[in-house]
Amino acid sequence: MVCGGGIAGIQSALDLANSGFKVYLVEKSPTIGGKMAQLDKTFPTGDCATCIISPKLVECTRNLNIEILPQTQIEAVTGEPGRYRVKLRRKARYVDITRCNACGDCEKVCPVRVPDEFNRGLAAKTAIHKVTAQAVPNAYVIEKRDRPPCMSACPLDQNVQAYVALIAAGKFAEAADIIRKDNPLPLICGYVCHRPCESECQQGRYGEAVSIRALKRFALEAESREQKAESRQTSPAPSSVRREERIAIIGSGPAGLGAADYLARKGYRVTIFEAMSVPGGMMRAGIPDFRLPRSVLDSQIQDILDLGVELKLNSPIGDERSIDLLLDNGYKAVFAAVGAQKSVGLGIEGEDLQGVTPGIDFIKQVNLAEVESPDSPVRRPVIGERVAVIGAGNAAMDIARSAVRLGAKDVTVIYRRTKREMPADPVEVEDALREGVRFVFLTNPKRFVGTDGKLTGIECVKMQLSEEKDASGRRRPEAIEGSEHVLDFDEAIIATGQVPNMGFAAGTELAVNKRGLLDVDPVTLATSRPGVFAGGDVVAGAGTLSEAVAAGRRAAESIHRFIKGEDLAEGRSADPRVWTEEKHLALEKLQLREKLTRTRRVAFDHEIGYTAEQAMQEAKRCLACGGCCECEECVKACLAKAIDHDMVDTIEEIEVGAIVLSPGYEEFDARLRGEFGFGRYDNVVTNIQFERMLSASGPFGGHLMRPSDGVEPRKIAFIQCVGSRDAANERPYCSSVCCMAAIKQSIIAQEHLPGLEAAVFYTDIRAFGKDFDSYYERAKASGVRFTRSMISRVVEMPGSKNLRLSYIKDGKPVDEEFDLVILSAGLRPSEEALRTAAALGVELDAWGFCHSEEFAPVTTSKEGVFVAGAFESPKDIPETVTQASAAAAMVMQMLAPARGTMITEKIYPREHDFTDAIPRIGVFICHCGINIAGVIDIDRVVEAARAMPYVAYAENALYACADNTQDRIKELIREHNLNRLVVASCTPRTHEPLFRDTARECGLNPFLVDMANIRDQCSWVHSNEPNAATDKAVDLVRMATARAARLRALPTEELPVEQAALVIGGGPSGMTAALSLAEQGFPVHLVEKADRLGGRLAPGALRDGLVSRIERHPAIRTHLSSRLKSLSGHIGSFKAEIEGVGGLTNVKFGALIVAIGGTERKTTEYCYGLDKRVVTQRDLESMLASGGIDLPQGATVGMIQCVGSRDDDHPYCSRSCCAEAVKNAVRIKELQPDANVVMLYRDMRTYGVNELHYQKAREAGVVFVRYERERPPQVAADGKLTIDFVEPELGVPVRLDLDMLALSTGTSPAIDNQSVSELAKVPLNKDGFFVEAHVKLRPVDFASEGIFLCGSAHSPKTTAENIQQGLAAAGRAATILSKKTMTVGGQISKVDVRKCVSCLTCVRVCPYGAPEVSAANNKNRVEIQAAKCMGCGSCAAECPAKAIQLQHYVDRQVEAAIEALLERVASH
Amino acid sequence: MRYAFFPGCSMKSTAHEFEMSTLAVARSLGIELEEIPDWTCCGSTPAHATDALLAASLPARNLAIAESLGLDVVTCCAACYSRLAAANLAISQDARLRAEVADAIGTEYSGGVRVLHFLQVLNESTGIDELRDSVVAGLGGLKVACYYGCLLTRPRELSIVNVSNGADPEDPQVMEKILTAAGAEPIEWSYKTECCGASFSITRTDTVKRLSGDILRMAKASGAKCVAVACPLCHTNLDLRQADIESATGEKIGLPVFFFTQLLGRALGIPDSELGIGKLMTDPYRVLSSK
Repeated sequence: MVCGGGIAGIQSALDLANSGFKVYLVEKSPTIGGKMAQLDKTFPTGDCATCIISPKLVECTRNLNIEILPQTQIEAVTGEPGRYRVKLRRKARYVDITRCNACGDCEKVCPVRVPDEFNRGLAAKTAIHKVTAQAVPNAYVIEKRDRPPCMSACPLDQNVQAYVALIAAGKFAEAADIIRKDNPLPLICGYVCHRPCESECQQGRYGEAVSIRALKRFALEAESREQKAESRQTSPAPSSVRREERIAIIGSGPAGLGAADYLARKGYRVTIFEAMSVPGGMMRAGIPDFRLPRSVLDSQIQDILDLGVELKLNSPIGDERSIDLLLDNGYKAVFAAVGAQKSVGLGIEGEDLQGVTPGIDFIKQVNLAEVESPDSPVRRPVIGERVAVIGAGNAAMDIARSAVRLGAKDVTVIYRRTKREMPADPVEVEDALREGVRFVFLTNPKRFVGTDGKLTGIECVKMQLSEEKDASGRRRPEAIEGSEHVLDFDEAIIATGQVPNMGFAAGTELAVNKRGLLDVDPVTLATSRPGVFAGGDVVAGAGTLSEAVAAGRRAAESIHRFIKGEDLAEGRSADPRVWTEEKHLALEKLQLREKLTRTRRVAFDHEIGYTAEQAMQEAKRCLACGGCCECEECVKACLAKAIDHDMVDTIEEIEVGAIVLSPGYEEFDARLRGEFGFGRYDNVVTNIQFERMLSASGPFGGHLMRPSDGVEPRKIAFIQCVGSRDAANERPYCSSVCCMAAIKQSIIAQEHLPGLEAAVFYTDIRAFGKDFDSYYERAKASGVRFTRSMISRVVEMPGSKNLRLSYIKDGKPVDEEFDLVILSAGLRPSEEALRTAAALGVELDAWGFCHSEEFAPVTTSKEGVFVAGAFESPKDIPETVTQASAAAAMVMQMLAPARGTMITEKIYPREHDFTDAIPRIGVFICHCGINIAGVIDIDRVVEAARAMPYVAYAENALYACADNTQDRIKELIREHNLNRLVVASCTPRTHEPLFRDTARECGLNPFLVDMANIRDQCSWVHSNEPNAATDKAVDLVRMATARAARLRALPTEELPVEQAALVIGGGPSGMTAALSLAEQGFPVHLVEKADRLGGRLAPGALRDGLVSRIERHPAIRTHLSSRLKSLSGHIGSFKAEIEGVGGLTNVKFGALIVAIGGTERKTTEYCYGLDKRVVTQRDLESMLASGGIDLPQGATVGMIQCVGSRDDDHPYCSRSCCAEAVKNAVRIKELQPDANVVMLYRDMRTYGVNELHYQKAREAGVVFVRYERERPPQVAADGKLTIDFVEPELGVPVRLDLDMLALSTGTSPAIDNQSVSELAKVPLNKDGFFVEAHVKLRPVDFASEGIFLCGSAHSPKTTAENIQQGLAAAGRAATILSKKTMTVGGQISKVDVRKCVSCLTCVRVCPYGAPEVSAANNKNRVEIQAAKCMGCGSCAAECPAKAIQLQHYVDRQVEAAIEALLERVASH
Repeated sequence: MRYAFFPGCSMKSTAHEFEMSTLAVARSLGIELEEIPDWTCCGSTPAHATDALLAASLPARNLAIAESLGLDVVTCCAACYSRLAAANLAISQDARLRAEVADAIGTEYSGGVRVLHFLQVLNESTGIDELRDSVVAGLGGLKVACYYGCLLTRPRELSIVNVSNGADPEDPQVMEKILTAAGAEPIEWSYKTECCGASFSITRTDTVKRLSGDILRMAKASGAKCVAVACPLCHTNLDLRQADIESATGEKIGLPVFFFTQLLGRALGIPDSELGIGKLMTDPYRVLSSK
């Protein structure tokens, strides 16, 4: 099992699968590719990272022995090495990968935007998305988070986020559908709901909550009458089943109507008994018209009645008609939904005075005034002049505002607490204030005062809030002694509370609780009497409208179950609304990361409502807390039926032999360096963000611009070591990669914007790798400014949003402004890596990187678990890939006996020979959802195809790549005897192998398939010109069919593989490679030119251990004092002559590993050789290793770095010298603390954890002095050994007397490099080191297949790195040696010997050494060796005699396509 | 909520309006501040620049008295806060210092009293929601630059921002949150924690004029109509010196500089006379509606 699908995991998986092992590739994210896929370009070649990694991704998916498990995490591991049981959690994707064809139709309809993590928050993406265009697996994924707080707060579980998102997207009717789904009185809620959703809205935590209620009202009012009628039919559909059971509902308020709606839709016969002469209950009686227009109320009630609900007005239940009677009369169940219609009095003196009115009575009179009924003549009340309203709830506000409307001169609300404690909706309070209502707080009525039975005033007492809190959690009000005073009023309305009238229960025995309300089961709302349910105010006391509707629906569900005889409570809970504080915090963090947009509410007129523009603008303020909002628009759009919102995580257990850990890294959180303003300043970005900004597939389409204003920057600055070499933030190590990344980014940025000024502020430039220094020099030459200075702070300038950096130059402070600042954020282990490591129980170092021993660099503390990539320590791509192959080699060694036992190989039927058959072409034109068909008229293309020459069959396919289409194609091939296949769809890059495979399964040679790319090259780029695009698609198909008619079957052949290896070089890398292959069971010849093994490895346990293991190993034959004399053959079958003391030995092998090392450079500088006190660093190391050095008391030891390195003769860095010198310096200080050690250096290149040795050296008192290349130190040995240099910061010359001077002279290429290069025909770079096939992704391969390299032959490196590379080379070689045969041929070049003049042009242009002039077979004509040819066509293009043709692209095939293209042109 | 209040000397003199407004705001919000009886100077810069024991002992004496009252300590002055908190930390971490301090002040003090700046009390104990609910006369979207200076946020371990919660001492938000609740619109700017020149005000006025001038100009360029501070010395440098700064460059700045408690107090409906608004040097009524 390989854990982590970045480039390390991919390489390990491919190496293992290609050498006969079954691999599970576990990746936590939805796609593989890791960090490398996020990079723009790679240096030094400037290759696009995506372009070079994509083929590897595709190779992974195609490999039958790699099972990719995306969105999967390791939970636990049990068992023992060789037989681990791994428990995996596979996260729900909500998209079925096997059905998703990645057409993107879902994305087009998704209304939710979430920050695009892949683009590091610089762009937004839809909640359903593909991570990148090149994502593997090539399928969509839905991002869901916790249930959003608004939805959690809603008593009706309204999917608030969904309808808000749909409004934002302008889909008002769809929004209305969502609202109606869970709400039978949606528009009423849109006017008067108490908005618990808005209280929880996360936008409100920072600014103002989204105006959800107003949006709801807008959505419902925006849709037209027709739309509404249509939607009501569909969502939610009334049951087609008519049920005979009759249900009685008491009360036509929100609870009653809620239940009626639910039950009617289930098909029940519902009757509502309403005591009043009008329906609506407290909605009508309690809420004034100015808040809830009667027309809205009436139409909403009518909607429910239209479902077939019977309404009986003036029909009170109680004495005359009891509940019992209803049940006796055939009603199967009764739902009591009586509102709180009775005012609670204050219980103080004078309440009976004329002019003291119960609030409910008053508001009822107001609201029902227009109702004319002979039985209950209701008239508008006459209002007093000075009116007091006692109470502070919404009812009090309604009463106060009604009183104003009725003409009261002065309306005063009296409340015993303060405004802060008022239960009324603040919006209502604001409206009341605006309408002139006065408020008297901290005042409580004590008695009503009157004369002649009429009210004249209220005696009040002043209150204060005590520290104590009461049951409601508010501070308890206390009367202030002696503060009594009388306020003058002629009318007082008491609105301090209301209770239901329990008269309906008369004659029926129902249990009642202490509050005098019905006692019901909180989950089912069942009363004590079976079949009778109750909800709303009668159970909860005076509640809110939405709570009452919810109660009605809850009771209705119970009634439905009751009638069906089901358990009432099963699977239900009292209150599902949970949005814990913890989640709040999580969200807060999330939003901090995503840079919360503080926005203000869109102002609107409460009475009129939003316009469409306002509504969309307001809805866009939603933060999409839940990610996907489950509006299910994608489900409607997906023709492949791939989306399933109900998916859940699954747990799976897999047995594996070994585990490779490659979970990668995360970048340092740059926010922790607050002084740089990342996250606050728009134009301060991280290096990964900058990569995305440069990338053509990035947020800005590859157009480099500032995030703040979209303007091209003219001056950019890089700040290095952000979260690296930073002990204060617990990141004391060097991240190794940032220097080169910044150099690369500055060069690439200059390519984007010529003339761009780039500055890099650094501590040391650590260009320690192969060819790094020359790249650094190139950057300097192209004008990138490098300033050695730590930036202490970044200041954003107001207005321009430029960034001002302050630094020291030549001892003086400088302020400089830049347009854009890039922070080179360091590497740290990812959270996922730490989690996985804990599950596996592997040991970590102090910073969370995986612990491994120095000379066993991929081995963890747990047997059978190996580590590769940045999780081991910070490293770049080549080293990561190297380590991945090394880890693969370790697994191969461990599991060698199991090799080949679990692999799958595909067996194809025998190929039919169609050589002489007339072409019969089958053409399939792909819709790709609406990707292609949305622009191109597919039917017309199919019609045209049918008329094309040799086309025997043509049809369209919804998704050509879908499994069912493949089956259909196979069927049609057989049915119509098709012998050629043309698919017009997307790109052959990803899909050609699939169609070739399908052809092979029907006995067709795979080269009889051709594709026309009518998506990327047609529908995508011509989306505005459907007609012309269709014409072009026809042309493309005509070209493809013309070519297909001329396609020929191409043969391949199987060659046997010589399953043995030859390793040249007996140093650490060569010995390691030989041992690894031998352990895997492959015979190895190890050739060493010296008379002993060990190379430059110092004597000691490591060398002795390796040598003795080699000597003991039966599969290794060591050739000492020997060299390679000749080499011939190709991958899988090489022959060589080894010349040794005993003469020539002929050997055969399938793979060659070049491990011939390097040499320590000698120098004549700095008195080396003149004075024996001057030694090389390596000499010093040997002295220290063999018991120490003899220095006088207070001795001074000098050290000079970069001796003969990084100069014109040797422009490269030798990589290991700084770390070695630092270690030696520390050792001297340990042995002799009074010794002075002064080290002169140019850049201290203690990369990775070596930085800690550097830190230790400084702490131990080693003096580090920098020198410039132009001003090297001067050493004189004239009896005294002296050194002269200039202290760079002070500019003062210094002379020191030295007792010893150690020189770091660096590594030179081995002398034999030249001869081996000629023998094996593999190239050397200008420094004399071997050149690998690809600097990033094939670091130990040569371009010539079958030949590998490792160790210092590749470039200078440390012993540990040499060992690692030796392992990697073995891992790579094993992918060849593990096969018995190999397939060659197919799409390769062929020489027409009659035309060949042996000019050798092809020999020179071929990168793989495939053309060979063979005297024996060919009369000195060129022959292409099939095993070496990669089918690139370079030789065919260059051959002056046109003697070479690339098979599958021969001239007549290409000509046919061109002629077909010109056909339409000619016809015009 | 009851706290021991350490006013410090500035509150009784140059920054009297800071004390007035703090006490008025506290009263209005039901926060009881009990002045530490017989308090002495915190030691300020002179003590910690000269003698570590003195720098710890002076605050310790005051904290010991608060401990005997059983109350946490609240202060308004940034320097007092910094000195009290630093002494607290030093004493709690260093047993030898603790013994020396006990000897010097004649009583044992272990560093156990919590030291808070008034900003923290409002943010953490009162809470922003309650603050928002208590506002009766919002500040009408007044564009204010919240300025912290150095001593409230540095060093990290003494910062008033909640570092353990991931808050950034380089970008404090406490005053912003409080004044947002009060109906102001704090601007985002880069000089929140810049140095105003502090006590160089007396010895190197030229330096202070340059540094404070930079702060005022940056605030203005960033769109602020006034500045809110939480430190008496910052206030002196920005408000008292503003005319000097203007005459040095000839550039008119004209930014009123408030103690944050003055702005908050206004939002809570406290009359200007109780907030000491009249004591400000740069005319505050160019941005405030007069009352």
